[in-house]
Amino acid sequence: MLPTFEPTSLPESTRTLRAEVRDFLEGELSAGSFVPRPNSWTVFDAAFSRRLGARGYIGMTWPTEYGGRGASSLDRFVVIEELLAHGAPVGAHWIADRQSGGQILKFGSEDKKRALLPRIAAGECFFGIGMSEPDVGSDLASVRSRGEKVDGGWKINGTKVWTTNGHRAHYLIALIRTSPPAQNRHQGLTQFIIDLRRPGVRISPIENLAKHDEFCEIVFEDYMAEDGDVLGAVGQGWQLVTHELAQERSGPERFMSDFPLLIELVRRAMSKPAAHRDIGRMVARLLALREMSISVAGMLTRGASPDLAAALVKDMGTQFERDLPELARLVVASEPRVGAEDGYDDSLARTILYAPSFTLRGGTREVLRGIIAKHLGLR
Amino acid sequence: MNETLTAIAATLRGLLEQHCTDKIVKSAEAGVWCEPLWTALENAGVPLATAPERADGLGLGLAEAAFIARIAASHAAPAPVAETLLANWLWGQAQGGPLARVASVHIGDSHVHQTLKTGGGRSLTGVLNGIPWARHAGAVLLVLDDDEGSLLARVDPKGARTTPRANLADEPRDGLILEAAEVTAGNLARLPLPVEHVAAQLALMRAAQIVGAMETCVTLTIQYANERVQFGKPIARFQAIQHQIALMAELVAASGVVLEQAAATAADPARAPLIWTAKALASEAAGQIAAIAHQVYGAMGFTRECRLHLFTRRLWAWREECGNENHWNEKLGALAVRQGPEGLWPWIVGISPSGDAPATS
Repeated sequence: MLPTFEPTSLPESTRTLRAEVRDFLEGELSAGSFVPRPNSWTVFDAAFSRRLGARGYIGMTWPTEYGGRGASSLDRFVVIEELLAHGAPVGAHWIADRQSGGQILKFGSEDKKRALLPRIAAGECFFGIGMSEPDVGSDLASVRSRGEKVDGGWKINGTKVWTTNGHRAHYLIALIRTSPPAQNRHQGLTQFIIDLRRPGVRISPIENLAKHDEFCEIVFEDYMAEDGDVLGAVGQGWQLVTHELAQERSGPERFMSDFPLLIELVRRAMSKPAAHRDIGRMVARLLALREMSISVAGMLTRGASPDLAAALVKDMGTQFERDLPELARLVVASEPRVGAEDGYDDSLARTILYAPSFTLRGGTREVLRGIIAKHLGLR
Repeated sequence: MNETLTAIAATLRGLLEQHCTDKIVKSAEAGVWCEPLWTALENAGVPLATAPERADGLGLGLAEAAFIARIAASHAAPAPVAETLLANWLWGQAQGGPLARVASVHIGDSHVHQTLKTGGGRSLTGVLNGIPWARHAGAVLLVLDDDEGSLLARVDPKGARTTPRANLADEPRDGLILEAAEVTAGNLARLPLPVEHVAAQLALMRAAQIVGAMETCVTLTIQYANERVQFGKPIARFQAIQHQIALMAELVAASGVVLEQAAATAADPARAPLIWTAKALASEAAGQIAAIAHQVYGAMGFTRECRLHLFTRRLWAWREECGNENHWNEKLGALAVRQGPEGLWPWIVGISPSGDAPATS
C-alpha cells in the first residue's frame, strides 16, 4: 500500500481562533516584543512563552484538569502555524508543548501529570530532548547512558547531546539503558523525566554555525532518579521514544522554518517578474506540505498513528527548507549577512547557516527514507 | 468517499483489469478504438457519471470525475475517460441536455473565427490542433470567447476534417479543420465560467491522470525491485534503491493530496490556485517518477516488452499537456508575489479548501 494523506479541512471554528492569534501577534509586533526570525522555534524567550501560556496557546489539546483546553489537534495546528508564519520566538516551550507534555500525558503517573502539565501549559516549565549522545545519532537503540537500579530509584550516568535549549530548560525526557543490550536492542531501554536542577547534572552550551548557543551537552554523574521519574514502564523506552519521535516529526515547523525568508523574498521580488516562476514552484511545494500537515493533524485528532505520515512530511518538508535559500540566492542576488539592515540579506544569512540542521535534527533524511522504505516492503 | 463512488471504483477496477491488458493498450496505441472497453465503461455508468440526471447521468461533480480519471489512468485505460467526464460536466453546467457517447473539450480561443448566423447559430472557421480523441468523439466542446463572456460550441468532428496525430503515449491528439462549420443555436451554450477556469479544469483532469499513472509506476517499481536479484539479493535490499523509491512514494503522496483538495472545489473559479498547484506538482513529479522507475528497472524497462513504458510515456505526455509545471508555477508565483509580504501568509491560508477563497488576480 502506498502512503496517502486523507484530505482534511480545518473546521469552521478555527477561523475565530486564527483571528485571535493574529490579533495577539500583531499586538506583540507593534509593541516591539519580538523581531520575526527564521527558525523561530529554537529561539528561547521565556516571557513570550508565558504570555502564550496565559492565552491558552500551550498544551491546547490536553484536558482542562491538566491545564489544557481540550482543543483538537487541528486547533493546535492553526495556532502553531500562525506563530511560525510570524517568526515568533516560541523556542522556550516548543519541546514541552510538542512532545514532552504529550509523553507525560500518555505515559506519566498521575503525580507527574498534576505536577508538570499545568506548569507547562502556563509557559513556566520547559523541557529538552534526551535522545542523542556523542556516539549515538541515527542509531538511537545504541544509547549508552545507563541507569542502575538502587534502593528507591535509579543511578544514572552518561552523556546526552544536541539538546535544544537544554541549558535553559527545567526538565529532560531521557532515553536510558536500564538493562544490558540483548538480542533485541530495542529492549532494556527506559524513558526518565530528569530534573535538570538536581545534583549530578553538568550542562555545557554548544554554539551552532549561526553563533547561536541553541543546544547543549548534558552529562549525568551519579544522577539519582526516583522510581516515580520513570515514564511508562521500565524497559518500555523504545515504544515510548517511537511515539515521541512521531510527535516530533509531524508538525509544521518541519517546513515553516524558512517562512520569514519567503516573505522577504516576495518583498524583493515584487519588481522582478523573472523570479515569479521559481517562487511559484516553492509556493506550490509549501501548499502541498501544508495540506499534508493538516492531514497529519487530522490523524492525531482521530487518534491514528502518524509515524509514517510524519516521516514523509518531515523528509519533504526539510528538503523544501533546504532548497528555499538555495533558490532565493539565485533569483534575488544578495551578499547574505547576519544582522544586515535589509531583512532579506539577514534572513537569507540565518537560513543558510541553519539549513544543514533541517535534514538532520529529529531524524535524518536517510533514517526517514529507511522508515518509508520499510513500509513499502523494501526492507 | 460516498457509497456511489465506492461502488463505481470497485466496478471500475474490475473491468479495467479485464479490458486494459498490455495487448489491448498496445492495440489502442496502434490506432484501434477499444469498443469492448468503452461498452463496459458505459455499462458501469462511467462516461455519463458527470452528466445531469435528466440527461441520463449520475450528476456527479469534478471531484468524482478526477477520482475516476485517476483510477482509469492507473490502468493506462486507452480511452477518453477524463475527456468525456469533463465534457459531460461542462455541458451539463451550460446546457443540461445529453451530449455524446464519447466527447472531448478543447479551448478554441484565438484560433477560431466566429460569424453570427440568423437564428442564433454561428459559423466557425479555424484550424485547431491537439484535440484529445477527436477522431473517435461524437462531440468536441470548443470553449470560445466573445464580448459577453465564454460559451461552448458543440462540434461534431465527423462533419469536419480531422488530421490524426498522437502524443508520446500514442493517444489521439488530433487536428480539426473547421471551414465555415455551422453550429446551430441548440449546440451553443453560455458557459457560467471564465475560459481560464476551464483551462484549469482541463489541467486538473490531466493531473488526476498523472497521479494515477504515477501510483502504478511506484507499485511496479517496488515489485520489480523485490524480484530482481543482483549481488545475491533483491535490489530492493540496497539502500540506494530504497531511498529512491521512498522519494517516489513521497512525490505521489504530495501530488495526491493536493489533487484531491483541488478537485473538491474545482467548480469554483475562486479556488483556481489550488488546481494550478495540483498540475504544477503532478507535472514536475511525473518526470521524477519516470526517471527513478527507469533507473530501477534498468535495461529491461527500456524495452517495449516491459509494461513500464505504458505508464512512463503517459507521464511524459501528460506532464506537458494542459500546461506544464513552468506554466502553472509562473501563474502561481506571480499571484503570490502580488500579495506582497504582508498578504502572502493570509493568501496561502485562503487557498486551502477550508480557507477563505484567495485572491485570484
